[in-house]
Amino acid sequence: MGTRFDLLVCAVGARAAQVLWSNICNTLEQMDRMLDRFNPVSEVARLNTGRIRSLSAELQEVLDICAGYWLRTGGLFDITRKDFTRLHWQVGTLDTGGVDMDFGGIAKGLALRQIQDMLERWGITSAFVDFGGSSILAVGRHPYGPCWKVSLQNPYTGENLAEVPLLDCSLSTSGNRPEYSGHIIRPADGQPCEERRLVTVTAPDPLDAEVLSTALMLATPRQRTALKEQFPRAETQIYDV
Amino acid sequence: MSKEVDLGLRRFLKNLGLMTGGAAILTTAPWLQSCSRTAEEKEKETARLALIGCGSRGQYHLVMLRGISCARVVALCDDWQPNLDAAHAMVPTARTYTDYRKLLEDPDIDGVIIATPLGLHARMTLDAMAAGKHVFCEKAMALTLEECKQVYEAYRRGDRVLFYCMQRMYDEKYIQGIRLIREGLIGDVVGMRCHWFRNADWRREVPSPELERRINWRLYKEFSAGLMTELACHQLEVCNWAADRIPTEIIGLGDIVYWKDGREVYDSVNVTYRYADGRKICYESLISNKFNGMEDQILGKDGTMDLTRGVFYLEEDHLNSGMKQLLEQIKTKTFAAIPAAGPSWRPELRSAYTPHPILEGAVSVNAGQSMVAADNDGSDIILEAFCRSCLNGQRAENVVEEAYSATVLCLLGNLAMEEQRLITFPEEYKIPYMKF
Repeated sequence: MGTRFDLLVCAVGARAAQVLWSNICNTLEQMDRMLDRFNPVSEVARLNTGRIRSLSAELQEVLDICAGYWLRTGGLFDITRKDFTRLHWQVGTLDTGGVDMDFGGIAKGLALRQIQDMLERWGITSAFVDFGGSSILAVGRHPYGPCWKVSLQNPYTGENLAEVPLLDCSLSTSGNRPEYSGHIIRPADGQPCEERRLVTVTAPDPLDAEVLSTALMLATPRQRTALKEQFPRAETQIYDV
Repeated sequence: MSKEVDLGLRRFLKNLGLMTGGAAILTTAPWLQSCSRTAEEKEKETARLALIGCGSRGQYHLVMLRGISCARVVALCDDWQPNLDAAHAMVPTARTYTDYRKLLEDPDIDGVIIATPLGLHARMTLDAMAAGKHVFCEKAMALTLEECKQVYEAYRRGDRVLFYCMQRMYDEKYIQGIRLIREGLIGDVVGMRCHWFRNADWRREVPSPELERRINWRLYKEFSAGLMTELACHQLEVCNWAADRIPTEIIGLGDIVYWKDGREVYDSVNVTYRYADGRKICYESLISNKFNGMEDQILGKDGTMDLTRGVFYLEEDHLNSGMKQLLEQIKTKTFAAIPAAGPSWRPELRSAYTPHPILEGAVSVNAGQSMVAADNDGSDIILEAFCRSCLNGQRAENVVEEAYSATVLCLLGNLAMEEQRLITFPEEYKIPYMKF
């Protein structure tokens, strides 16, 4: 997924931690092989370029999830970045309708959701998972604190914007930076979002947080209100930086 | 710079994990084998040592020897009476000599420490080994290529212990730094940059003019090969250690830029050494400006090892990540916020790189400005390792080979500068140890 992944798990033996780590790496690699549109042999790349039309059960499940979020965000979250309605799929096949799929706005959320499930199955009660600094999953609390805590910096000035306590929840940030701007595309007009804005979302479900942080980068004030109603368990902050 | 004063070989070996095996360290620095296993075997015994050359470096060794319990200085030799007197005042029980050959006849001497001008190293080393003495000699090995070969061959033929004071080989931060390089921390080694800058004339006070050449021997070709053997020697050894190779080609320019005082050796040298695969050592030394100090940098595709300072830098630095901070917090049982969504930029300027220490805790950094010695630079450790070897007869693997290789490269550097041409490593000075 072209980013760094860090995992801190507390109170686990070294051997068990190694097994857990390798299981997580396997999961991430599998997702990468399915979703990375830049990898020419990934399922998504082959679908995008029309080389295949067959659809795996796993990718179909992801598409179903994306469809749900497309609806809940009023079209702001759109893996086609153009027109989600052109995608048609049923068991085993997909017609892309000539649009490309890009899972960049949800892949880390999908991964964190899987890791969340895995940690729960392992009975892990304290862990900190960091996906490139922008998608974080906090399980339980810091060994020496009442929660986990992260600070947010203004990417343009370096000043501290806020400290966010995290307890059994996920944090996703989205925004532009001086060296990396305009990477979020407005599906409505295909134009890049260039605003100097930083969005943070905390939510129990890492997928909700991931999708919502992208959608809020694009949302008008009215759309923001609608999103809040759609995601009642999410806490959001929008900073103009 | 704070420093932890610790003079013990045992502590040094313990820090490196050699008391309990330390296979990775022994692969990195095989010469430590000679002091790691049998170090305690003959603890009660004492090595009887003689010092040949009682100048400032020799006297420094005497100070170091005071802290080494298995060493006893029994004899001193110098043909310059003030130095002999000064050393004798430090070790009043020692016998004194003005001719080292007489000293070598003394059967109650196990090993000699040679701290004389470079031009005397080879002859004294050969004579001492022939007299059955173990030898600890200051670097460099010898003044000429031919002498280097003679000493190396005499060493190979005989069974005496021979050490050269290549103290970086016994400096913990260098050893661990090279281990990290071998483990891939900085990626493929792609080049080396070493320099040594001072702003001093390299002179000592001369009581009367006829003593100029004797006292300021470093400035004259009769006894000295100048900056290359006096300074670069250490640094070239480190480069070869890191590259695990010996350069095949040498080119350079040397001049007397500032200290035009009748000296014969360059006060400014720029020498490039090229390995067979194209990697290069960029070497520079100048003694009329000290801004850049001394540095031994190994450049890797993924990072830079600054061995002099005991730190490394990464091209793409994730070591300051939130996760790293979290680990520190848990280690110190503290709780605080860690940064999220930090910018993932790559530094483009040297000042923007973050130094990471090779060793935990304080380390001694040699700024390279002293003509005599620097604290905790490994000189004391290598001296103690020699004392141990005097007792157990174990040679330190590769020390002579490393000293030979580095010295030959220094002398070839001088040749390249004097003849202003590209020198190819001469076949006759290759030894089986060298990998090109």
